[in-house]
Amino acid sequence: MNQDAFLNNIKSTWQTVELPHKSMLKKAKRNAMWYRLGVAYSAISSLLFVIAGAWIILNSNADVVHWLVGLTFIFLVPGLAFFSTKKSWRYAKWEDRSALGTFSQLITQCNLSIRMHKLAKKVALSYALVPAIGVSVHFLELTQVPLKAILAASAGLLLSTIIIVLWAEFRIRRKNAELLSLRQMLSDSENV
Amino acid sequence: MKDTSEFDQIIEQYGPSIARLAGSFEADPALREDLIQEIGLAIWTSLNNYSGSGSLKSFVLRIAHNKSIDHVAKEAAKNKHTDSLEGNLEQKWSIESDIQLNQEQLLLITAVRQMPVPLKEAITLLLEDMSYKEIAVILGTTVGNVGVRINRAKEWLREALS
Repeated sequence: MNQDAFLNNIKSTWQTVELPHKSMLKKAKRNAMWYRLGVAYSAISSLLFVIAGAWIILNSNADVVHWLVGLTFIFLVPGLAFFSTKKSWRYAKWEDRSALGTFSQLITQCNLSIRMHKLAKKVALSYALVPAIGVSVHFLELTQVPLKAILAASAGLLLSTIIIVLWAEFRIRRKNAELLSLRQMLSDSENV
Repeated sequence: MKDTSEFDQIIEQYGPSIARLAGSFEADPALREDLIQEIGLAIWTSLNNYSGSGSLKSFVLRIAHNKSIDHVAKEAAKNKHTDSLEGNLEQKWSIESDIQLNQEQLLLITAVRQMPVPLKEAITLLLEDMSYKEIAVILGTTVGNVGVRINRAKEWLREALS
């Protein structure tokens, strides 16, 4: 059997292989609709939280707890809303990935994702400064707010910080593992 | 706004090719279902980017291929892909023979699944009637490199199927 006859033979066998797919592809279309709704929800809720945060700050008398709550609404809650809609994060960054092709481009995207998550981690860590400022303001007697209230607000903020940092760390580790395997495949590909 | 009928047409026309491509990269039916859904979602979100300069088939298979490679990379990172490829072959045969594949088709798809990724990504596109030039564009390599990969893939299949 010559090469072309062999290829034609396997090609004709291959093209008769029928694997289930119709319902899966239709489900993908439905998921795309949900994804769009999720993105819209995330954007609207983030905007509402920012407005609420600004309102709390503007209507307080420079009260530390109000500032903490306001800042939480402005920065932390929208951040959590955004990060928690996994798909919106994923597709916002990866939507054009399907237009990419080579391993090198995938590696570039992986590196970008790692950098983004490292940035998210740094931003979350900077939230930890807010409770410190709150406690300092109390001990400097610049506010009449009870220490208990400041500590309660601080504890909530710190808990959120820990969650975001752990989540970002987990994503960074996963992306690093993906990067390693992509590099391995790239070297395999170049060796062919 | 997306053209729903265009997407339905793609499912109708290229669905079997997408499923075969995904099936050659993922043997596990549950993971394959996820992969096919990912491909469908990527096609849906990328339809607006289709300029019409190349063939629609090339556009669709490019997305399917890239999503499959993405899937392989993720599974390799989770150390699951190796298990799914080197797992109990007979068990996988029984899963798919229950569905609809005959002995010849099972042998072929199993041989393709066991192939190294660089050879597999070239031969699967060739088996879907893509030209060497189109394959080179999708894989981001030269036509010469595609030729080398396909020759090696043919040798691999000849040995596996003999």
